Amino acid sequence: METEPQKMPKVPKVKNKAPAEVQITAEQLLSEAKERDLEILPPPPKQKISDPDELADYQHRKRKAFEDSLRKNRTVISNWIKYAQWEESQKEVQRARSIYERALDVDHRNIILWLRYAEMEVRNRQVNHARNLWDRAVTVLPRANELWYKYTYMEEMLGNVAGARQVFDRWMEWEPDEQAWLTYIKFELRYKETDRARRIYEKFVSVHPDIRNWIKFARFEEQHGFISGTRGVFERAVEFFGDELMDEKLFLAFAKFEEGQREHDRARVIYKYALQHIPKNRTQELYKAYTIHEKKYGDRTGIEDVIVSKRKFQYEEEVKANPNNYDAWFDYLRLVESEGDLEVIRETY
Amino acid sequence: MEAPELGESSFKQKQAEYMKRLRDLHTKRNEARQMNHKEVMEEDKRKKLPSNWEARKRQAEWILNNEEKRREAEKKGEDYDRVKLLHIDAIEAERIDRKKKKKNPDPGFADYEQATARQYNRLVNSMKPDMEQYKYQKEKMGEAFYGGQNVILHGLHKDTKEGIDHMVQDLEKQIAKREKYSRRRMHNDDADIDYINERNMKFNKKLERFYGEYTTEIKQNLERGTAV
Repeated sequence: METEPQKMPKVPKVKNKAPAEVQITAEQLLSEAKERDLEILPPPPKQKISDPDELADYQHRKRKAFEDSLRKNRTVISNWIKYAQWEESQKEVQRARSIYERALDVDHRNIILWLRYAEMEVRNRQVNHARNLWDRAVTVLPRANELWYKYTYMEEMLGNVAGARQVFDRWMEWEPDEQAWLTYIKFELRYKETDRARRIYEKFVSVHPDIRNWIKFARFEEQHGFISGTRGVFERAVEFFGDELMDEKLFLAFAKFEEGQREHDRARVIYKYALQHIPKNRTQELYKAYTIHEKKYGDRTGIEDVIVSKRKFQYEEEVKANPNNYDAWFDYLRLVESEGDLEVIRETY
Repeated sequence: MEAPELGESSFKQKQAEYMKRLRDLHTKRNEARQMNHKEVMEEDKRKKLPSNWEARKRQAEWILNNEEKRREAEKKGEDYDRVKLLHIDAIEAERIDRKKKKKNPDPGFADYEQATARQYNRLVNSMKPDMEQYKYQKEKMGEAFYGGQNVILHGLHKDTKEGIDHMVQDLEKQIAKREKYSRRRMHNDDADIDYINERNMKFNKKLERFYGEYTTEIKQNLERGTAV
């Protein structure tokens, strides 16, 4: 009598538990599987849509597929975007809009959604919709510079320069990075509004008080031919930075400008002032530029003066570092002697 | 009788002379014909040449000269580029430099904002502002043209069809350019198959991309069966 119905024939017990000589590898399994082509399905037959019913059917099927994928995972933004792009390709702009809005409900901080949505509106010539949309986007995400760039570009392309200007003003209120300010200035210069450009530059250097920006401001003035303006800018920059934050680059630029204006005395004065006021360790470039300037425009004594002061400074450094370095002391003395100032010589001895 | 003899001989002479002259003229005519014919052939050949034959010939000659000079310089042991530079005028050198400055090399991807700014600058460089329209709008809007953020510009600007067309065309161009940024890769049929379906294949490729350079040694060891 059988206690339970046996479903399988009895498997003989395995006696030899050693591994076989030739083992199959995983790679071989995979390549054999690939060769057998078990999972390859023939492609569905191509159907041409011939009447509105078929079209409705096709759209219904596609929409169902898209909505299913969204139901599975609504945080994957690319599903939303693919769905919306498909609706756009079917020329169903209202549906596309609603899809984008639903997507924004899911993730309103995603810049790509905003960008694609606005692009769709503009491509379908819905310019006022696009404007409203950009307005919302920059209100929700004011620090996303991409949105601002595209918004101003759109307004400028449409010919609405006043609108573009207003958007730029709103943007600058947020005090964005330097590139944004420069973009605004370039925009104004495109329409030859140098006054406004100047005012923007003023705000710019107060928001981003970096020496490079002051130099850019001065260059702007120079390029438009406002020489006294340039000088004013440079002087203000010098005042603004004071002594501690001063940097040689500013003086270099200032002196180069004066050279360009053929005001060599002023250039000399600037160099001397700079050398006096900047702590000595940052004046390499300045010395070089000064010597070149003197070689170009100065006379022999001027050149000698500069070189002498440079070497004097070097020697001072050396003797401070190494008070027992007699060679350095003697070189220094010789130099000072050649200058011919008796008091200083006595002191040095 | 002498006179008729003389006459006869002079007649013969004259005849000979005339014949000679005639023959000369004949030869000259023939020569002229030949030369003309030659000229015609050459002109025909010249017309049939490609339009930039002269330019191409000049270029080829220049290249040959260049090669020769380079070989000479190398024989002497000099740096050919420096020698070449010494022969260029200062003005020409400036011109060449200015041409090179126009290039805008791609600094590689930093972040999306930089990429957008770069695209913006490129598009804006090719934009030509319509100053007429600008002046007209300035007149029309008056104060509001330069207003700040709080000035209401709502009803003041009407979009023209040309403006919208312009924007749409530009956008289409941008989109077309964007399509070209990623290219389709060929499928390598005889590469190793380490996947069980398409999604797995892409994932494996991703892993290869990120970890490939660090795991080459480990892979080699595994293939061999023992570490080195």
